[in-house]
Amino acid sequence: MSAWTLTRHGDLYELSFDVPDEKVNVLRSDNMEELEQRLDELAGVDGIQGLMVTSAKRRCFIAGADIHAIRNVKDEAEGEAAAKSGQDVFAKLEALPFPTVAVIHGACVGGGLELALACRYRVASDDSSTRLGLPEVMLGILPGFGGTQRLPRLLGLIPALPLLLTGKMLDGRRARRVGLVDAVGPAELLKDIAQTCMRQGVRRKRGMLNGMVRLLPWLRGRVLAKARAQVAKKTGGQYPAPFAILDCADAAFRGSKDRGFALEAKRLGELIVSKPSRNLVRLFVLAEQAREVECDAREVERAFVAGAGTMGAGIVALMAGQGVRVRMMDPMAEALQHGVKTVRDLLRKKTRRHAKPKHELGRLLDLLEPTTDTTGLIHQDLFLEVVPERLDLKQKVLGLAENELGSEAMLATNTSSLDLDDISQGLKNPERLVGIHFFNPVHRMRLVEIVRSERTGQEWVTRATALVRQLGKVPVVVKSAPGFLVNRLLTPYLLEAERLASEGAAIETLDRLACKAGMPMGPFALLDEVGLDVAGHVSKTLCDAFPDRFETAGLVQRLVDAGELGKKSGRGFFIYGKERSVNARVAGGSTSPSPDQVEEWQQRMILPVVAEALRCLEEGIASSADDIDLAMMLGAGLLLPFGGPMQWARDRGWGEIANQLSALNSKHGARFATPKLLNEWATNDEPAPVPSP
Amino acid sequence: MTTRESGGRVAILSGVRTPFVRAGSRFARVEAAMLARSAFVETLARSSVSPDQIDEVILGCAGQPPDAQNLARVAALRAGVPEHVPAVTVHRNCASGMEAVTEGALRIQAGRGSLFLVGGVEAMSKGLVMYPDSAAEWLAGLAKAKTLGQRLGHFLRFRPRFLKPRIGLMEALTDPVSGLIMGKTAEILAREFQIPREEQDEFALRSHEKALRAEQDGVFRDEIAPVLPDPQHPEVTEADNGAREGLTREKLAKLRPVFDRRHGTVTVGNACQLTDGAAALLLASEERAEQLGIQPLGYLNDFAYAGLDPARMGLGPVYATSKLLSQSSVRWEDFERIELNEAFAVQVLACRRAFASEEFAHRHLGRADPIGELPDEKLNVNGGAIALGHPVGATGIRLVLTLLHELARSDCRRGLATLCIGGGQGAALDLEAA
Repeated sequence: MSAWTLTRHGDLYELSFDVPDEKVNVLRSDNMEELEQRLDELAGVDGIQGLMVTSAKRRCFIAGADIHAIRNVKDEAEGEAAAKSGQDVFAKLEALPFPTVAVIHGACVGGGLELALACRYRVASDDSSTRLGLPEVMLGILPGFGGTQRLPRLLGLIPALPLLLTGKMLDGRRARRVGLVDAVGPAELLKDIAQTCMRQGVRRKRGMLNGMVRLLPWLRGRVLAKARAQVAKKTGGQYPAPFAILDCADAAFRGSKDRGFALEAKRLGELIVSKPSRNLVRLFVLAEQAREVECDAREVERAFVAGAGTMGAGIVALMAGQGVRVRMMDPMAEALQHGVKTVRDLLRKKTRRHAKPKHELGRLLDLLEPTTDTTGLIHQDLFLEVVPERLDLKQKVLGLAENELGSEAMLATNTSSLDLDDISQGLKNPERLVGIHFFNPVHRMRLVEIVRSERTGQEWVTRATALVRQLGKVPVVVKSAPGFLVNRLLTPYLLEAERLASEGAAIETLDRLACKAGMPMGPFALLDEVGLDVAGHVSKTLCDAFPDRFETAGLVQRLVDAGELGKKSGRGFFIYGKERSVNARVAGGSTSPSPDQVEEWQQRMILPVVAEALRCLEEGIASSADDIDLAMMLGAGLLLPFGGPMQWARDRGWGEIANQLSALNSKHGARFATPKLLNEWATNDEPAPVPSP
Repeated sequence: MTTRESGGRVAILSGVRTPFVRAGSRFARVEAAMLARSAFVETLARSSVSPDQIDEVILGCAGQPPDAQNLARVAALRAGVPEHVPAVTVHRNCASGMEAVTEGALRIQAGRGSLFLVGGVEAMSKGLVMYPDSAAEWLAGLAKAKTLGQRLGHFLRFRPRFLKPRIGLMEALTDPVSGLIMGKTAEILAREFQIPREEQDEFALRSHEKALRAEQDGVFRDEIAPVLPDPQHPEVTEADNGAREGLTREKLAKLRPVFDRRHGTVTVGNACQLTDGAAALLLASEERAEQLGIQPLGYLNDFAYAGLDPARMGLGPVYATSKLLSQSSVRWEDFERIELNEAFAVQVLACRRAFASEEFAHRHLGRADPIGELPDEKLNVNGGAIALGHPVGATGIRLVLTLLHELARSDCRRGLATLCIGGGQGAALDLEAA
């Protein structure tokens, strides 16, 4: 079966893409070869007035390159060669002696957009499914089929950079505005619009600034230097891809055309086998796998969310934004009003870029049913409680809901610290209760922990997983135990940082070292962000559960007692004014540690996380090392550039980790005790993971 | 007098209303569609009926907003009623809500569906302000002017009177046939039935007292749903706010007559209030109610609409009730509770006299005997529109709702809900407790 079909409409040709047995079109080596053949054939035909490149898939033009092909690249040379051959195919498309136009309806992403860029014209539908962008940078690579060359030349350097450096997606209208597409229209009329473009041509306006950047090398240099500085600040220098992209974009405007393309291919080869890219691709694949779930139950259409606090409102906004009708309950009128306002503001942000923002906001708000009582339970597919973390309150609310809910409806709790079996006590069917633990802020955090106890029925776990997928989040199933997974692993890091500070290390220095070691945020900045009362509550739960290794040095408590709860009260470890400064209460530690100290401090903050992760595996809290990495990267950004705590340790070798840990153990005590599993792996190595598809 | 084939009674499964609040207060910014949506959402939430089982949505509204043509459809979709369920807006002026009930009942009796969501709404805060017709003509002419000269010429034809506003609410409350605003028809009844100002004020005061007591006793708890109809400005509204505490005869006596400054008796104190509110009910055939396993709130046995002189529209309840009594076997004495809408105190008092008058029965109703006395202990025992307000399209539904709850509370069987209709009509509904 062929993926490309050539049809003739008079003197115009249509080349239609339809990868057999796939839901979406992806570029693979086989269909790239086939494309090349078709282009060669076309180049030999006389009298062609134009060519339309179209897709036969519903709402998908081309979704990009095959992610597994990226994973399978073995060395730099192979990566470079792959880029080169792709570039050659698109160069043939570009070189056709007649007008060409990409007819874009649906996703036009990565390699798909690069193909469209090789056409003379692009037309896009105004449908909400139409998205154009180059997200390669998010996988730690760059667009290697000419994207870094053609995009800056088409749009100008300044408009092209955000697309290349952030992987930002544009809808049809916005793509038209920046000049990425030449015309926008309804999907049904798109081919007619494309033909008009080819027959009449299109005049492109190029702004004066773009022209100057193109012509004046020093101005271009200024733009690139500024971009470099911004990227360095944002990524902390952990990722090479954005810098490689900037080099290639620079090359697009200087020297011969071939040099730019050659640089692009070379850089792709380097990046594609680099650690950060490998880790980001792995994260992408893990997240996709986590979202694959077999579930026969229909999607959730109506949900009841009890509790209109920050979390409750965040969850309601997420659901309404995905088209779920939500009954949002809080018995306190003030809390409910405040919750509705929060939902409204979140949805307003979400709809801001819509073609008719006001109307779209109204449509989503129509899905909201605020109420102060428990009416309407009988119609729901899901009941989720987000009430304060008090066992008696949660039991009462869930018991009440269980009585009135239909037997098909899910019964769920968003608890972050209570044990599922404790909460389900008193329920008629305790096996029905499942934990769906969202993270704050809900609209930004992609991870959701699905919490099950020994009793929880598999059916409900499956349905909760499907719900999380429906809401566009990534589910990780964990067993109910204090702190579940993410908080359990994050806490040793925060407690050890607190201890280091109490021993005389400066908190700003510890924050800096942690970031250098691969944390997204220093421990103290993170504590302030979460709120010291909340963080203190979580760490107390864990200190009570595992007194042998979880122990607080008391700094957090000292600040909480003084009413300084972190960012939300303007003061915590730091004081948040115009400039952030260190709180005098905890200031004054050593800011210039010796290199040995630096290493020990970093080890002391990270190794307990790895040790705790291994204990979670032993205890079955998480079902695999991959799940742990996925949860920690998405839920806390922990060791994100290194692929999460397990991959980080794996790369260093389990034996080495065991040695470092036992050294710390003998120096600092039992909280660095070596878990059983580590002893095993240190001698026999980690058992090979089940190969991922 | 016509006779009517019996169509069987119709079950009223359940229903709920938003609080009724004074125009310009808490719902001042809320559109009619959002008020009606709230009533629909809360009615459905309190019932086991699933929205996709509904055969049709019928909504009454007297002043349909221009930005929501077929208000019923707009409100139903916004409330989450599925797209396949059709919706129609009905209009019988002050009885628009009742029209929704009786229209639903007729469809059930005709076999055109067995489950209906019916409602009524009025957002009286959102009164329209319009330009005179002459201004519209001038604007149309401007659009036709082609050349610059034509346009300049047209501009010279502009007159300042084009900008004189027409207040939609005042025009809506004026009957174009008799040329009388509703208050003037009330003044006619005051003169013809010789009902003095003091008696009217006394009745109004009683209405407020009854409503306040009912609220204190939690009488409306089952019929009102707390709502936040406007998610842009969320505010939980739980109770009516029309009834005034600390109202006295003296305070009422101080108010100046509105419709006839010199000889009049009707004041804002003894007339109904301008109010925002919505209400909804679920109607079903008896068989359907049984299938659904729902114990109804009550039943609609029968109903009648009657026409009369538009200038005396306030007597509508008398004509409609007379017709209702003639067409079925129910007797006046059977009604243990009566909700007679309080458009004006004088209008209720005039009805009361007409009900009991032998002469009125002879001359106007073609009856040998008067219909009967209307004692205080049966009439509007929880107050009426003078205290609670009269959101025109919603009132009919509220009367049914309040009456059925009152029948259940006081262990009565049968009740009458009746109201007068601007333009010279009356409506009367024979209702029965479950």
